[in-house]
Amino acid sequence: MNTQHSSGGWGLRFVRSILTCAALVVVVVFTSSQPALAIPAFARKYALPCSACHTAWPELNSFGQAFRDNGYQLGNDHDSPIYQDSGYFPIAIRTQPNWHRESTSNQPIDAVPGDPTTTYGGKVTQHGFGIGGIDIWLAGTLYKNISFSVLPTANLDANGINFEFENAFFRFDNVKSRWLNVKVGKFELDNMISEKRFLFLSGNGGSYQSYHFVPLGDSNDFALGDNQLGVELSGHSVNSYTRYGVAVLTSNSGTPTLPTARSYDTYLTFSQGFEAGRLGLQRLGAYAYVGQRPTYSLTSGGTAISGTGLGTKPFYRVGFSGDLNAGKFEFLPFFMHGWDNVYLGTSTPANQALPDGAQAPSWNGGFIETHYHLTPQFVLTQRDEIIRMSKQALPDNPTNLGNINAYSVGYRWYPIVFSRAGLAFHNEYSLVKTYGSPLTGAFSSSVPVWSSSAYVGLDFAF
Amino acid sequence: MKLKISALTFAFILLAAATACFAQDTLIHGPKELMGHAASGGQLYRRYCVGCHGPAGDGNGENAIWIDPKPRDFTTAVFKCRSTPTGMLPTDDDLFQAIGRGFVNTNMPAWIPLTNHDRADLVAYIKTFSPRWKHEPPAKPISIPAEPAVTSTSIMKGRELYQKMECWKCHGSQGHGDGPSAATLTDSKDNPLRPYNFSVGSRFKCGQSNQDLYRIFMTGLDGTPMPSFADDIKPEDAWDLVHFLRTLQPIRTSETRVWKDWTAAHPEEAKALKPIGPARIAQADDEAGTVKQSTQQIAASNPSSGSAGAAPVGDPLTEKSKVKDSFVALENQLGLAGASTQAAPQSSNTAAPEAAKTNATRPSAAAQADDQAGTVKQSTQQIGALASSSSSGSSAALPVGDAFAQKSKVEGASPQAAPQSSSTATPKTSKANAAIPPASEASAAATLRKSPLSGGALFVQVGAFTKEANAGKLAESLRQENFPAFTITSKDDAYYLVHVGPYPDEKSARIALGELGRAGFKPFILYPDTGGIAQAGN
Repeated sequence: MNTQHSSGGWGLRFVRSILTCAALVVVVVFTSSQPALAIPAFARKYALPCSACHTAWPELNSFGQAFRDNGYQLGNDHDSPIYQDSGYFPIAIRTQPNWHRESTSNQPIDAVPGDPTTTYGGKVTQHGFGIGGIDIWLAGTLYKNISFSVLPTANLDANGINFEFENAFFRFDNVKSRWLNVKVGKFELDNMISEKRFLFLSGNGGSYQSYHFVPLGDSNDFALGDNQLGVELSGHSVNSYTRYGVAVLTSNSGTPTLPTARSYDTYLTFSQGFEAGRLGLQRLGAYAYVGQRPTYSLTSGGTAISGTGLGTKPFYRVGFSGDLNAGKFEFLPFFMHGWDNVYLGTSTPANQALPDGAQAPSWNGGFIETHYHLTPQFVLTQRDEIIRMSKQALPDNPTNLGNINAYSVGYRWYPIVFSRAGLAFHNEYSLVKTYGSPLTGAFSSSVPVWSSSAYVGLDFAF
Repeated sequence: MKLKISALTFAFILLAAATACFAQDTLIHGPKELMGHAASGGQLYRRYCVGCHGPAGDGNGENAIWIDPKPRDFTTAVFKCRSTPTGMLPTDDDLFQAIGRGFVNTNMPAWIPLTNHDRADLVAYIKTFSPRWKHEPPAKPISIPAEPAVTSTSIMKGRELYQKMECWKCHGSQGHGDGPSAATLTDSKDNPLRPYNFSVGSRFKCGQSNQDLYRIFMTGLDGTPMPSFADDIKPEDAWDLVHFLRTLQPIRTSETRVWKDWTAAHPEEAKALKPIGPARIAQADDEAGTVKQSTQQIAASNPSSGSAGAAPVGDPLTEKSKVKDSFVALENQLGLAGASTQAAPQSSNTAAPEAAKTNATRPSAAAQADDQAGTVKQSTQQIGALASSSSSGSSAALPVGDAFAQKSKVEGASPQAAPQSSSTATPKTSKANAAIPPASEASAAATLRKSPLSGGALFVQVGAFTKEANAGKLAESLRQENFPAFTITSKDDAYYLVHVGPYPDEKSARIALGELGRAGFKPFILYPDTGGIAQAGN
């Protein structure tokens, strides 16, 4: 009895302590009113708080969008680096030390480790401390109306540290007018809802499913969220409420080492912002990506020769997106319709016969993301995402094969605020349900795969 | 599972919505039929502005030390870009436009991507930083007449104005911002300032259109040495100046085209144009022979506060400006040289060759350049002669040398004298200092038509009235309390202002400020060197 009473008392005290701590956190968070900061290279240059350009960094607000559209320039005739202190260097570093937990159900697991003949469907759970990609970002202006960005990213994996250039471009800004800007290099597609500057970090929530979706069994490597190589012409109004972009890109999804084709893709975007009284700025946009991918390539000794893809077949992604505001609420709707050529959808080389009954796969996808910006230092986030196949490439495929439901919820709190650096406390939970399990070497839509991520980390930028 | 997630999402939205309900609103009428909410503006201010302007709006944000020019101090409610007369509060629309326009060559960006409501909210919040917004009536914007056609004649006349209004002293002979006074300029907080460099071709501080340029020098840039010329330039002359200033910019405008065509068609005349700036003064000196002689001529032809009879035909300025010229000389005598430079800079010289020669030796100009000290004595004597012709007796005995020292001594002898530097008071004030009547003798109704706010002397504004009698009553009551009070009209003649002073330095002005504050007033100091800048008192 004593033990039970003692245990109950301890339990109550524990609950009280948790509630007290929670209340303190709420008080601290909800009474904070300083601005949040963002990638600080520009903050250092212009002595502006990062909250000037970001709703909650790294997401851009309308002013930040205009700043970016203008070639990282404010247009106050002090944009050229010649006006900066000689000690100024346009560099920023960002990384995310974190603890995370990943769990995926219905995975093929060997009952006897090392014996592939004893496979069964089970759950795989991993957790531990980690570090997100380390971004070392250099960006700014070389001269008035000439801007640049170089972003090498270091990724930690089993092989150690791998560097890659997430982006590297030069941009000639305001050529003749703000309606013509020319960007050359590797860069993010002008997606109205940027996956590079969004507020999710976890393994499952840290990317838009719609941006990376291809049907199961499809050979197309394109992803709307991947940075691409090419040239982009873009323009915008003085307040960037009206924007357009036309990009011509090599058909390699931004990775020149792939055995890709000697062909080009095109990406078109347009968006228009308008004021809706006290609700705030609303923006609607549309996009279309028309591309092609090889289905086979020249070989040498049986090995594909890089960049010699042949038998290119087309695909497209079209849709619309929005950035709708209602006071402190921000809603980001997104819709995509995707279509891949049947050769791509069935991973069939164009010089070979298609499987019987094969057809071009198509699908619809989209999400609604919600932000509630309580203060410039605190934002609540959630996202519901869904992808539904319209046509399967192969007649034997279940109709729901590849369908996805994804949910994410989290918050970001920016407790430390300086004019030169920023730190965000990031907490997120994401859940993805995929119809189609690679169990026993075959896809089974009757057994959905649940993948979840729990993420607690610090997002650090200097 | 789906149900749980939907419930979670619903709870999330509900929580956020419930929090939003606690927001407080303060309704303030904003510009363009918008309602600016100070409460909403406060949140926006913290997001966008606090880093530079500071939580208290005093321009001391955490980034302020890195910024040049320094951020605006909203607590003084002094703003450069206004459509209202100098010294007055800007309109809400002025602030609204300024936020959207930004300020070139500063860290203040153009916040045009913000919605109109956001900017209106910011305007409402910015107005909470200074009590002036509660105590001072809203000022009326100046009227800007329709712009006349650009002609070579207009540009030529503007060129002459540029010389005669001494624009070149700061902006330089070629408009490069490198005039002889450029290096000495500071704002109302003693931060160094650079005059606008027309040759860069960037947009102006307060806009980029011809109307904006017109407005800039008709309202002045409060808080900076750029004065208002509203009292000194007729509207049509102002447009001439606008047209000329446009030719200094390396951008394609109708003005540059007209001027280029004219110089191409009239090469000899173009070559024969007199240089702008000190070179012309030197040239004028050479041509003049003896400046004293010319001055005496002017004095002789202008025996009482300046007569229009001496003006040559074709003088673009009016009789008013000639009256002012004499008045300016008397101000100089009283140690208010800066006032004349600011408010009526050599206006009478616009078209009169003789007056231009006088200009070369005017104490306000000469005293600014120490190396012209040799001329100062001569100038002072000339003023003495001029003042003598206006029933002045002892001015010639004023100390020679630094203008401020001269001014301080005069003011020290009789601080009450300055307010009477009206043309209507000339016969009395031009007497020896000892003969200057005490302040109480000055009629409250003897309202000045021109503010004596400049030259380093400080005044304290105690009140502003729409009725002259009320201003007079307050001034009279203050004088009975031994405050050197007087009334003047605002630049646009819309208000009768009650000022106290002058005070030779800020310390003494602040002492008066404290006394007035304890007496129940809400005074503030006017900083004359910055165009009659008001700073919150107490």
